[in-house]
Amino acid sequence: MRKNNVSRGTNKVIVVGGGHAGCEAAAAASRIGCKTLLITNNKNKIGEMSCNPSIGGLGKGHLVREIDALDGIIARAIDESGIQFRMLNASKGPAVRGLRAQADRILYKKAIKNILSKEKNLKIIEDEVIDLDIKNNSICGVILSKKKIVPCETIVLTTGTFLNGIIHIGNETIPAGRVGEKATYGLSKTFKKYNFKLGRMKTGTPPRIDQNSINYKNLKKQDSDKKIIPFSFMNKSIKVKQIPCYITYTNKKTHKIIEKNIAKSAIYSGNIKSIGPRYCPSIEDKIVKFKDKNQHHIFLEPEGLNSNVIYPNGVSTSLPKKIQENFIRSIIGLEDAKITQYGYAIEYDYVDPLQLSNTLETNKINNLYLAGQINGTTGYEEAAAQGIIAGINAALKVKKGTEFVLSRSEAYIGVLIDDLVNKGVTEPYRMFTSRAEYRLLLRSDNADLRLTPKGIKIGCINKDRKEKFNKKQALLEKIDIKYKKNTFTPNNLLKYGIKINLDGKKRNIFDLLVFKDINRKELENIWPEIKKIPNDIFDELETRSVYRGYVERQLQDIKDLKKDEELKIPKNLNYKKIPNLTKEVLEKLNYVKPRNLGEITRISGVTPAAVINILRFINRKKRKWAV
Amino acid sequence: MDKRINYKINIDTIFASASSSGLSAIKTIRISGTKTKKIFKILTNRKLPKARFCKLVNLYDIKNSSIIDKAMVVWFSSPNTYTGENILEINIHGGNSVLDHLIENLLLIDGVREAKPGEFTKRAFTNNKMDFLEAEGVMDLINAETKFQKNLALQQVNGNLSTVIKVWNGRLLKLLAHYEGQIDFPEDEVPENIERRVLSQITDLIKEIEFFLSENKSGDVIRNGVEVAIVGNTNVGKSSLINQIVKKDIAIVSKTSGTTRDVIVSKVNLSNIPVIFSDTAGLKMSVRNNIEKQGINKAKKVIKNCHVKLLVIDVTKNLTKHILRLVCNKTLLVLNKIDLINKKKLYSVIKELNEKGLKKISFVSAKKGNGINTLLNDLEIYIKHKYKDVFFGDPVLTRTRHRTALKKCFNFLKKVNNDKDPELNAEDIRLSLNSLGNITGKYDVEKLLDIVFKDFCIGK
Repeated sequence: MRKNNVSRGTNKVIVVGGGHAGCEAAAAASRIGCKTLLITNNKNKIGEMSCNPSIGGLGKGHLVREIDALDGIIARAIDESGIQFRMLNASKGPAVRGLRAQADRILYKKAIKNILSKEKNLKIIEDEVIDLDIKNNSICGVILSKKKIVPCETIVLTTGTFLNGIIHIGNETIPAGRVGEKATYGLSKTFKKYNFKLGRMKTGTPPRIDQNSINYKNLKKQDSDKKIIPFSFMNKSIKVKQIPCYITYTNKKTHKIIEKNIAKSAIYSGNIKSIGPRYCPSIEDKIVKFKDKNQHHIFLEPEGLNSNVIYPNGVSTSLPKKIQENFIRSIIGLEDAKITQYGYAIEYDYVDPLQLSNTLETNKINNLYLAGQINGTTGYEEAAAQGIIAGINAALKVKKGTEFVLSRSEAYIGVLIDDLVNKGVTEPYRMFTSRAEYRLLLRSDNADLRLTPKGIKIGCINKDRKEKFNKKQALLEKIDIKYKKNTFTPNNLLKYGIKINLDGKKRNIFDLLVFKDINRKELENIWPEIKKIPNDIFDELETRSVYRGYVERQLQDIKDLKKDEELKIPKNLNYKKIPNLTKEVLEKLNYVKPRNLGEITRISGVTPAAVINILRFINRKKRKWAV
Repeated sequence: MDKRINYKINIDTIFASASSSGLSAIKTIRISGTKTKKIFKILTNRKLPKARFCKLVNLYDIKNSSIIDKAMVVWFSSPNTYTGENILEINIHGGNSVLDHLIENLLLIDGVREAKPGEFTKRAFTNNKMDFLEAEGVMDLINAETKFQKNLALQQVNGNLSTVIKVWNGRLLKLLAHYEGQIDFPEDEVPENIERRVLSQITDLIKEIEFFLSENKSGDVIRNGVEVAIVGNTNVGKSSLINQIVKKDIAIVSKTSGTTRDVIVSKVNLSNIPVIFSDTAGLKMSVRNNIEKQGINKAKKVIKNCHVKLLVIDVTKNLTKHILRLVCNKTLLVLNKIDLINKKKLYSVIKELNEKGLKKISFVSAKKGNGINTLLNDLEIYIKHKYKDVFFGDPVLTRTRHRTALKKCFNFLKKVNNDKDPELNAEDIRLSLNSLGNITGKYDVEKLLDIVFKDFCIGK
């Protein structure tokens, strides 16, 4: 580290915000070895789940596993606080299975705090950041509530829904970041001062219900999986007690109440103009848009082992309080429901993510990184994924290391960030597996194999994980080689009672598992030594075998992608000097600032002719430099 | 990820027609990439000529070794070429059918595909061959190329093939959206039977595309001519008819016996449309011997594969059910021996046929040569109508691209089945959509999600 930096104080990285993005960013920067300061409005809210108490699912579960593979904290925290684990799509193939867990909010926060407290380079303070200290378009520090300046080298901003946040319940509007917490205005001004393009988004939550006021008698019960698989690579089992969720349904009466009062909902009264997510509609939206449906399901999710609060997932609303009560009580099991906190919609500012690079650093201000809902995403997992990348890069920048960017072909995290910074958002962005074109390669079960080696290279993996991973990888390779050699002809197999086509093809045990009617147990009966192969390794080799043909094709596509990504665009390229670019293309390029050919081709509105023009210009410049 | 996978970049060999798609005396095809040497050897069975020297060679069909064309070829060796890669330039005769034939053969070679707009230039750039690009006018050319394609795309809105493909593309996207819906939203309100429903609709789509591909063999029609089978009972005058037709035509190409004695083939030029008439063995109720049986089997095959069926009926005899059973959607009826009956009898036959819904009828006396001109006229109108996109539609290159894309799409769709894991089926459907991408625009996940959220109530 440079000596003249001492005058800037001891903190190298400052993380603003203690939500899922902030915690992940702070922990990552600290793991890499930078002195890190986390500033939060309220220490008690660190690791708060402000929406539904669950983590994972399709796509989201993939993100959690990938964050874990980089030694992030979200997976370990949910493993210590999950009260109902389920593997979604268990009957489908490994690429589209999604682990999901309900969380005990209190336990989750405790787990996060516990992990953060063990980070040696991390300090946490309680204060409000009202502005940033910026000189020559570069970060110098943050300015706190009493105008106190705290210097640093890089900043990760994770302000979630707090930028100009407004809560709507019916006609009521309350400025706030979350219920009972005040919003942030100073930073919105900072962004405006530097000409960042801001947008406005909306999201909502349902009313919360007192568990003791629910009649569970006639409701469908949903238990945890019998065999629980933990999120984290570091954990073998889950020690937390498992409890069920219950399912109930809205009915015609519910729908009538809502229809009659639809004009009083903040979304339909015109009070809210911003866009909400289509995949997380309010109950008002569901009833207006799907008129032919007579019922919608509601998952009654417990908020914790010792909590009386139930989160009725499926009925987020911004109707007036009285009407919320009316329609909730029209639902079976909720006839006497006591609402402990009313549902609300919240509007907030986000920064158009097209103004970021793949490291999540802003194009306008050097050393400023943005992560989480501020970038127009939704969900804890999406926030955490950005947090870890922003945190890693903020730390690597301090250490003068090379940037850490994951490609679309390497991780869901790569898909997420590439989409954000090149395609932008039109609604709060959520991950789905269908967004990943290399879905068969980017499985949640091979996240460690894909990403942990990269993490080791940049130094964000702790010793114990590194050792465990290296052991697994060595064993995997050993078994792979051993059993690939061990092949059988169909005639050979017939002797063991396995009937397959007599095509003369030699097959190893993993090739045999491609056949639907042959399973591991059967093979174990014939070759008992297979029993010794650990489950995770066996599953990995089996999946590789089943997916082989498809994966080879995807790898071919990846080659094309890589070639385009290798062609770098100089950072400060003056597009105005390039002849024949239309005004629209020029504006787009200046705004998005693509970094390689692949990114240019993914920006909408950039024509093949424009691409050739740009390439031609860069090449001519390169030759001049060479002279 | 598997560590042993080799990431060495190995890009496709690309080709493009350097001539416009209209009529011209000579057409030039340029091929660039690592496979050019191999292509030359496969197509000519010769050693590579000296670089930059013209050479006259025969190009042979890969599948059946027939001659595609006598062509002038020039070989340019890397790196002193436009793209910096090996380039093979082939100058062929200007007919669309020759070009079509050559392209079809090129596409058969692994790792060879048609170039995308501006791709030659892009390769020139990546291989540091910018000097060529500095030359004036290159940019104009590329711009013109995209503009030209835009115009083409507009023209094709009215064209048969592209419209059909766009409709299929839309249906496929919706099916994939529904299929992805049940994968990505297992806990949401997605109908439980959606997977089965999508799979059964895909089976329907496969059948439609298969039918279309077999019906709409435009490429084949142009190259080999329209195949017309003359069918009917024994002794209804089929052979006399074909003799009359051949006599009428001044430009007889050939008259050869088929491989068996029973199918006689005559190639005729009908107002510049090449037409191949096949005289088939008479179909009879009872078969006397093995030779006859073979003849009839052969005839059945010809009838199945032909584009047009001329069903000859002897008006002096009663209409039999078994002969009317031969009528299908590509049949023209020919009533023969009209000189042997009176008009009243003829009307009653026509009436009987009309009542059965048979209206495409010509009348001839094959023996006397009456009505042959009218018959040929009817046939010409019929062919021009049925294969209008071939004779008046898209340029040949576009059409070949459409067919190739559709075939690829079809092959991926056929892999979809009930026993496979859904994520693999989804991959096959996505690949099938991607193969239409060159025609309908790139597959976009946002469009897919639009459908998911519109059709299903997502969000618990």
